[in-house]
This record gives sequence, structure tokens and C-alpha cells, in this order.
Amino acid sequence: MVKKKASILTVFVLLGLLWHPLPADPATSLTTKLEPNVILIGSFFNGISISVTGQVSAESEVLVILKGRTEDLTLKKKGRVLGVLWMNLGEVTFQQVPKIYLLYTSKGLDEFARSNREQWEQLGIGLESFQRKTEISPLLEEKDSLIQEFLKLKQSQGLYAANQGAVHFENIDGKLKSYEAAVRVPARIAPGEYELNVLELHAGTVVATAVEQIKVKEEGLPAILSNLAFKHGTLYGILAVLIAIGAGLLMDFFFGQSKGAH
Amino acid sequence: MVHMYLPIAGNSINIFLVFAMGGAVGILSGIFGVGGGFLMTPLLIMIGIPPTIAAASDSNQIVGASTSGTLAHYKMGNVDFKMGILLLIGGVAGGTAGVQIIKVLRQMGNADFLIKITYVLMLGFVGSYMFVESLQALRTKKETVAAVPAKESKYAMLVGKLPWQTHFEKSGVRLSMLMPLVLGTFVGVLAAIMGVGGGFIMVPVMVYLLRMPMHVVVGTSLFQILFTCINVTIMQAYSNHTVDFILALILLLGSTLGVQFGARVSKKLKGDQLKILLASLVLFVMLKMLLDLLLHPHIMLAFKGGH
Repeated sequence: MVKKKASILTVFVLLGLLWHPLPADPATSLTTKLEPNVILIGSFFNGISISVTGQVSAESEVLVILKGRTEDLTLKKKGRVLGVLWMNLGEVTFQQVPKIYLLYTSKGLDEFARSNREQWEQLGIGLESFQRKTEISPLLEEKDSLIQEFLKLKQSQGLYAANQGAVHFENIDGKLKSYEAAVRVPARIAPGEYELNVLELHAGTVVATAVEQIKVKEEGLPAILSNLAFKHGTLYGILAVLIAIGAGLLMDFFFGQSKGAH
Repeated sequence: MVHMYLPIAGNSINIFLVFAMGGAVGILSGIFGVGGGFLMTPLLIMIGIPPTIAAASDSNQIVGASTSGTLAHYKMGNVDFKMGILLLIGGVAGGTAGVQIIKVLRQMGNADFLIKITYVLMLGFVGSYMFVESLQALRTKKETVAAVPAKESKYAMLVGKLPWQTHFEKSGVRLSMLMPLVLGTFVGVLAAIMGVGGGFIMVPVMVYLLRMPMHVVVGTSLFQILFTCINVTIMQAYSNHTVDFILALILLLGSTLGVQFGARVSKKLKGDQLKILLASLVLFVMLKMLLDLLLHPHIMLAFKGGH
């Protein structure tokens, strides 16, 4: 009974936290700094590391989450034909899943869950939470295993990751400590707006959150080519063909044998 | 600086790796007169390129490789333009029909299954036939000069009765103009249904049904592939925006060079040696496809647009 009361109380506290601006209590004053917060995709872009730094109170734990826009993602589903042959059989849509989900934590996810399971599950953090909150259509019996496969696919692309114990601390004084995480953004990140959330947890409860915006955009040659390809498709196609033919002619000119040389 | 960003694929790749892949497939293309999409597309998917973009950018790349390859073979007197153009006209007509046929098949359900099985069986049949035939030819030539097989006369008689007989100088054959038109259409339909370029089907058709000499087959096939891929590249760029020019450019720097080398290798090999090597390659592709079908997939989901 006492336990139930306590958990109801925590929910209220949590709702209160979300509703009201964070208290200006210096003990929980979370600070966050991103470097960089604008990612430019140039010709030689190969992913980038975002340095997330700041301060939290000395007893707190920290979670850093980089999240992309949510979208419905339709994938082909593999299945067996005649009991032996594997091929694509139908499609399945994963509803409102983020394009990217990179989680960095200061300790193991199990430890967070252990300290206050109910509240942890409500927070919906970590790859496991997708198992609970993701809906698929059509609704299939093998939903659980399909979501597992979906997570595998996203992880294999580096778009979903849970890096446990990857937020590091350094003591400043008895009250405050600094934290630091290097968020590795894969080259596959698409241009657009992203959100980086930093959560400060104390005894399993979120005591402060910070939300930072990250902008990803193409510049230089990639920007020019994307623009041409999507806005002037035919011209782009013709140019691509002409350059390819030109390269073919040039290679033959330089490396080909002259006619009748055999 | 080793990596380069691909704006349409939305990923980065290692320049040297992609250049080497282009070079290797270019060599095969120059030797055998195939586009090499069967090898390149899965390789590109393996290094993280989405399937539709891998296939479309590969056709852009093949435009460069086959330009270079056609020229190299032309200089050796290995391109039959007359035959190539007739096959091409048939191919375009067949391709257009094939796209419609595949729509109907898809609506009937489980088309992918039928297509894959047919493809595997066809590659198996063509590969084995070529392999056995060229092996026998290589053996008999060692003993005596091969006599013209008598049983072929039925096919030859039938072909001889068709109207519009004409002489194909480069290939050294006399045929009805209907033959390359009809066979080109047939290959075009198949290629569109299978979602492949068709080099693997076209080369055996030219060797066995049009009776062209193997060396002329290679050059003429490349000439034909050039135009097919120009068409595919522009269509894909226009309707699906799936051509990644940076990817194609790095690939074709390798392949245009590789194809020149391949053409020289091709010149050094005898027709039957070429055939037996191509047969082995066809059988290898068949086995790979069969294994893909039989082995448990690593991940049970896949992006749309692959084969």
C-alpha cells in the first residue's frame, strides 16, 4: 500500500517536473553545452562526434539522447516459401519510430531499472522500450520478434545505439561534478532538425532535463547535387550520362590501344 | 579524405574501396561483355548503399564502362553495329512490355518467388549448357578440326526460311532481320521482369541463337548495354531520383580503366575459353542466388527496392 502511494506520488512529481519550469535550485542546476550544434555535410563528411559537456549535482546520473524526427517506416518482411526458400513476403510498417536514436548513459541501463523499475519504464528510455511502445501494421502475431529485427537493422546501420557507461564524470567539488559524452553521429544522418536531450537523474527520478537543437544540413557539392537531383531530375540524369560517356572516351584516349595496333 | 559523402545515398564510402570495386567489375565487363550489375549491386548494398540507389547508380557507371569497352572492342573489329542496333530496338520494345508484365505478375501475388526460381533455373541451364558445350569444343579441337554438327540443320533451315535475310558482315552470318529483333525483345522482356541488365541472357542468345563469333558477341553486347544503361540512368534520375552521381563517378573511374584491361585479356583468349569462363561465372552467380534463398537471413527485415 505504502509502495503504491509512493509510486503515485512519484508520477505526480514527474508530471510536475514536466509541467513547471525547472527549479532554480543550484544543487540540480543542469548545464549543457554542445560542440558543434550545427553539422555541415560536405564532400568528405564521414560522420562526426558531438561533444556534450556540462555540470550536474554530485550524486546524479546522466542520460544523453540524440533523437530524430519520428516517421512510419515500411520494410519488407522475409519468410519461408515451401519450407526451404527465404524470400521477401509482404511488408510491415513500424509506426512513428525515430529516424535516429542514440543513447549515452553514465551507468548500466539495468542499474537504472533496478533503482525504480516502474518509473524507469514510464520514462521509455533505451532500445528495449521500443518493444513496449512501438506499434506495427498490419498487427501480426510475431510483433515482438519483428520489433527485435527492426532494432537489429537500425543498429546495424549505426542509427540506433545504446552506449552504457559512456557518459563520464569528473568531480568539481562536493556539490557539483562535470559530465562529458562524445556522441558519435553516423554518416547516414539525414539533413534536418534533431533534438538532443540531457536528463539528470537522482535516485531513479528525473530531476532536470535540457533540450538542445541540432541542425544538420548539406553544403558545397552535396548540396548542389541533391538540389539538382531532386528539383531537375532529367537534367541531372542527362548530365550524369554525358559525364560518364566523357570519362569513358577519355579513358580510351589515354589508356586504349590505337586502332589496328594488334 | 579517404571517405567521400554520397548526397543521394545519404552515406559515406571509402574512395579506394569503391574505385577498386569499379576496376574489378570493369575487367569482367571488358572480358565477357556483361554489365556486371549482378555483382556490383549486391557489393554496393553490402557497403551500405540502399538497394534502389545501388542499382540506378550502377547503370550510370556502366554507361562510362561500356563507352570505354565498346571503343576498345571496336578497335579490335569486334562490334557488329547492325546487329547491335536491331537487338537494341527489340530490347527497348521488350523492356517496355516487360515492365507492364511485371505489374500484372505482382498483382497476382508471389511474383518474386516465381521470378527468383525462374532466374536460378535459367542461369543454371544456360551456364551448364555453355560449360559442357565449350568444354567439348575445346577437347574436339585438340583432336581434329570440328565438323559441322548435322543435327543443327533443323534450326538452321527454319531460320533460313524467315523473310528479310541479310548479311551481317562483322559477325559473318546471314540471318533474317527478324531474328535479332525478336530475340532482342525476348531478352528485353526477361531483363525487365528479372530486374537485371540482361547481359547474361543476351550473350548466350547471341552465341547460340544468332551464331555470332564469341569475340564479336562481347563487343556488340557492350555496345548494346551502353544504350540500355543510358536509358535506365535518365529514367531513374527523372522518376525515382535514385542516381548518386558521386558514387557512379568513383565507380566509373575504376571501371572505365578496368574494361580497357579486360578487352585486352579478352583478345588473348580463344572463343571457347571465353565461353567456358563465362559459363563458370554464370554458374557462380546461380549458386550465390541459390544460397541466398536457402540460408537463414541474418536480419528478417529488408529495405524496399532490392531484388
